[in-house]
Amino acid sequence: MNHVTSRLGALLAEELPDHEAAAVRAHLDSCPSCRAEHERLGRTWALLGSAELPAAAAQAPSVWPAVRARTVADRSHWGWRGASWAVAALAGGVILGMALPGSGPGIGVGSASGDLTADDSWLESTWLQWDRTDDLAAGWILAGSEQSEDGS
Amino acid sequence: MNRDLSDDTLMAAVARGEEAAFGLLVHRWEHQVRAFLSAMLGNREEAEDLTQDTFVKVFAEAGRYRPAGMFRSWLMRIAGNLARSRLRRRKIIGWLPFEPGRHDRPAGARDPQRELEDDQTARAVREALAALPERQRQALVLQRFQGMKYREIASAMDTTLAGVESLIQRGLAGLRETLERQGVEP
Ligand SMILES: [Zn+2]
Repeated sequence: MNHVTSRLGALLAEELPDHEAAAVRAHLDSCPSCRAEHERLGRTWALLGSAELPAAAAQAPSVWPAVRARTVADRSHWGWRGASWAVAALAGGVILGMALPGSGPGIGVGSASGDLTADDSWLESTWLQWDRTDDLAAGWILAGSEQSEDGS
Repeated sequence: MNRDLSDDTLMAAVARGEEAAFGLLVHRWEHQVRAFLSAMLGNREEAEDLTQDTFVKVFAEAGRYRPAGMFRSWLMRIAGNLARSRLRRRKIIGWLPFEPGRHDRPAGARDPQRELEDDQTARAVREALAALPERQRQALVLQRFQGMKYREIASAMDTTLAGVESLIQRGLAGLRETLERQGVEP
């Protein structure tokens, strides 16, 4: 008899395809040891569900004012965005024509993002670079992006 | 701005720097991000900081977002990477470590910054969660607290469906073991 303990998490999460779920349930009907395991895991699963979000977290004040101040309300945000693109471009070994004279950020950015999204690993690689190069990159891109800020 | 707009539509506007769209997106998702980070980090102040950071990165990366109806996975991937990077930093400099095994301490001796919960069981579950390997914890929290499907979790965590199933299976078993050892489970 093949025990089904390794499938019980997926059964509880309702992630098994119907025919597999039916097979697992049929096994549970005939196997006391798997059935006991299913009951124990089921209790843990229920406990985890009940431990969800503490009320305090749901009532916390919105982060929007702070996020707004650091993004849309930040005069340098276009430069800062440029920095992250540049970092991603460097990480991917791509040279992009950033901050082209006469082109607003929206335009320049659209084409750049089109190229970059082809790479699935961009996010992770951007992170890895970001922590180390954030300040430096923001500094040097800011200098070059002043002219394009009017274009936004 | 229309509150019914999809996340993908809002993200296109965010990529153009449109404030109203971004504000709507932040309000729509901040509770889920905060809850996820709080469960990952076990610390409310840090969760607040990283909730902010998550949305700042959403804004910065908006131009690279691919509209495929998977915004939540993308968002939780950003939050998850920030959380894991913070946890790594904690390990390196020994700052504010999880102390899931220290149940002998009286409640008053806890870190005052640490989230205080009235419900003992919920706290025990959170501490047991904190004792799990990061990726098991992440997968469980995304499934159980965020209601994400395995397919979404796989995308958020850069793994396969089988990988998610394995993480959740092992995480659940580990959680049960810890809770039973603490006498929390009936
Ligand atoms: Zn069996």
